[in-house]
Amino acid sequence: MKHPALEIRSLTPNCNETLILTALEKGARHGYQLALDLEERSGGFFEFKHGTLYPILHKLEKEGLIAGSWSDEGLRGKRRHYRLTEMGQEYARAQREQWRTFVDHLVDVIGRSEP
Amino acid sequence: MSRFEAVLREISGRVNLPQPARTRVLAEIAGDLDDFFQAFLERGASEEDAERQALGHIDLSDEALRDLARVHGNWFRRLSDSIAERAGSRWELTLVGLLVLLAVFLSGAVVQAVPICRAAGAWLIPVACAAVATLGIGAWKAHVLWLRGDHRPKGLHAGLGAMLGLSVLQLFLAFAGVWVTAWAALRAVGLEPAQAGITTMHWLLGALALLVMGMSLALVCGLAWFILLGKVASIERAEAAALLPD
Repeated sequence: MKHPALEIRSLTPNCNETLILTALEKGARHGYQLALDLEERSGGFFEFKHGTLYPILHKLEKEGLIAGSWSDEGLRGKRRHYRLTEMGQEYARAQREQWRTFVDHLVDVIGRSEP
Repeated sequence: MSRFEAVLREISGRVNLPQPARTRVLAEIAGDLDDFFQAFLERGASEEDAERQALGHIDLSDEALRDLARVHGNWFRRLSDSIAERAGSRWELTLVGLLVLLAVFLSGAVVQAVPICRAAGAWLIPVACAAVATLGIGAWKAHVLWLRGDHRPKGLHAGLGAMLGLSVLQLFLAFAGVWVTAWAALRAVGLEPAQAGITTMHWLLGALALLVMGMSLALVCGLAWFILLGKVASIERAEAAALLPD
């Protein structure tokens, strides 16, 4: 099992992975659905360029955290959808804990709003 | 025909990943482009707007392509990608250049040292040059297909025709050498009939050595061509399998 660890230099990729894994907890998704879900749930804050999603999805799949499969959707052709594996669920939970701790400490330092 | 065909062609030219990852990425992009387009249409966008927004969402940057290559590439690809992009290609070219120089040097040393090569005479030089060129192309091709894992269809067959042509050229040059030296030997016998036996024997040994060397080198080059052709065929099969996974 991969051990999550937040390091300053890997914050962005780590954040992207956590967002994708969390979005997949709601069920299997196509790549484009993931991008739109994250955009909608964050009120447009996380606007993923889909090009950046592919390397993350493929990396997570290689690591066994998600599993991808093709589905034949008739006239629309073949689509690839991804689902979270058991290992991915554990990893996502641990990652979220790490992020909450990180955000709490960050807010302790910088404050929730300007004084 | 997809409305994004031109974009997909442009992306296809940039995605230099090994198969079947390459086809998989392209199939995913094609599907996602269509899905984005439909999703934006359903949200009330015009066709032009939906197309523009779909393309804006995909935006496969060079950085994303490098990340994909890191995920799907082999150890060599990851190593060369970890060096700066331009420096990496220069480094690869230098490596292949050094290997070719080494091959030329070794060929020269072998020609000087091995009796059969000495017996084959000057005609062996063009035959050996063609063999070195063939093996040089083969080494570059092997480097691209196995080490770099660049399986773009455009360059997949590049160099294979030249390898086959150069292998045939080796045979042609060896036979041409036999015929030319035969003509020279016959002329020498005509001028000095008393030396006919020695001249004939000398020609026979030289012709035999040249033929053996020419055919052996052509065989080795032909084998290299055959192995590379097999690799290209397996890449194309993997591409077809990725398109039709069931």
